[in-house]
Amino acid sequence: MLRLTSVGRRFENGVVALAGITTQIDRGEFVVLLGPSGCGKSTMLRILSGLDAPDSGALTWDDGARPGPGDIGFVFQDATLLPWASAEQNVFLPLRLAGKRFDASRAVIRDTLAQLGLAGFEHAKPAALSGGMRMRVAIARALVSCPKLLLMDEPFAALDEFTRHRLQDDLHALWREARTTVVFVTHSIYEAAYLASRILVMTPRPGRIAAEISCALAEAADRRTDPAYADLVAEVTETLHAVMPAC
Amino acid sequence: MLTMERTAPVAFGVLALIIWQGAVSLMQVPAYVLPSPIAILAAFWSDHDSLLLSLLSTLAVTAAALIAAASLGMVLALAMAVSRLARAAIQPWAVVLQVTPVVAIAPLIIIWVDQQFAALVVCATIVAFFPVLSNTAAGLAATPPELADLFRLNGATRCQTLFLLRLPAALPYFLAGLRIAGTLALVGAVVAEFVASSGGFAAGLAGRILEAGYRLEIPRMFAALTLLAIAGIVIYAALGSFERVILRRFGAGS
Repeated sequence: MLRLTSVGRRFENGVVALAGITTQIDRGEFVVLLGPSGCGKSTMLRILSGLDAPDSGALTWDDGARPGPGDIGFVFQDATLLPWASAEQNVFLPLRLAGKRFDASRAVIRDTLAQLGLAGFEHAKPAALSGGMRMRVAIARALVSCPKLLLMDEPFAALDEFTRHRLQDDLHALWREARTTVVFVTHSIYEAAYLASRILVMTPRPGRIAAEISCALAEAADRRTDPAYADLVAEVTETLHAVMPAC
Repeated sequence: MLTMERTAPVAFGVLALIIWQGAVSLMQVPAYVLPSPIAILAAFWSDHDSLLLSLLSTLAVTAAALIAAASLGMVLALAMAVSRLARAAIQPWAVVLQVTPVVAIAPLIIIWVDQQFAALVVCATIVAFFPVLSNTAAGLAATPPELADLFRLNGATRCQTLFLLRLPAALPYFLAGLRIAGTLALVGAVVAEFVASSGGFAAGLAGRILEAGYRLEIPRMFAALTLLAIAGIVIYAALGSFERVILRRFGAGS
């Protein structure tokens, strides 16, 4: 789908956020960028989204894959909903910005909200929703325009463990069903092992891809208790220890 | 505990009034130096038609100035948010207008503007518009960057970003500015009335205060002052509730 060739990004203050990033992301993959804080994971997402541009190297899209408005869904660490708008109005936002009418979009908005378990909460304002439900609305907003690429920047980091597990389960089920290409940033080994079809391990200063792990877990719903999952966690942990510089 | 905190200001005020009344009667302070609360109340009662009419006149100026200040501050803040050139052009002059004492420019404005009511409104607006302008401008500049990114990713036009994101996000800031502007509009109105009164236009409360001062009717002067203070408190509280109601309906009040 897209290819990164020795992509580098240096900020005005001299910090090298990314250096020599070469990889490719294929259609339908669930790629997890795993690494400690400050290793350029978020910068990489911004470059993939087009919000930021590399200083060196190139980002090449396959023919016909270059994204236009609405082709990229972005989920931030906070839900970042419009506080004055109801759940359905928040989900409507990308369509509205694309010039669609609410009446014509009502069905797809309802469906997307229902897919994320929010049926019945269409009219709730963000302040009336829990953190997990707000994040569900944010994911629905990112998915409503059927994006080619879904970028997620530590979306579950601020949630409690139970809520996080539920959201991970639901996100993975959605991905198994729709096969949207996802690039997901996290600093949790468990989250990476649970969600990814491929893990890119990143090291900081400058941000580089230090290792790549393909995950061959059976794509079942109960993978969390699968011994293969524990093995994968162990493998990822060992890889991290091997490549991470002492701090 | 909460009810105690709520009744504390009232209890304190009543206590102060009792001490005031007691001290004035005990020490036999003459009314032209410091009238007792009861004397002030009596002065108000004997002259309430004229005082309330003057209060109404002052409040009319205040309300008109508040509306003008809100519109002017909003429009200027919008211009500053939309265009960097407009920002550079407007900001220093807004500060100049803010730091120039209105007492100093009021005589000029009263000469320039033929209609007295309009002249008073212009003076009060000059005093009141700055908090609306600076708060709204700050609000328009404080759009959550992630939401701005989201709008960009979805190909939002400048117009869409302004009306669907930046303006609603600035609403709490605007309302906070409006609350400050409300009391400032009253202050501006009274200051302008003082200046205008010396030119013979004395419909407002400032006119009553000056008049009472000339005639050494100090209790009446205190009555007018008290009305002004109450008006200020009511304006502040009313705008505060307005702010809360709007923010609650708006969904941002949490």
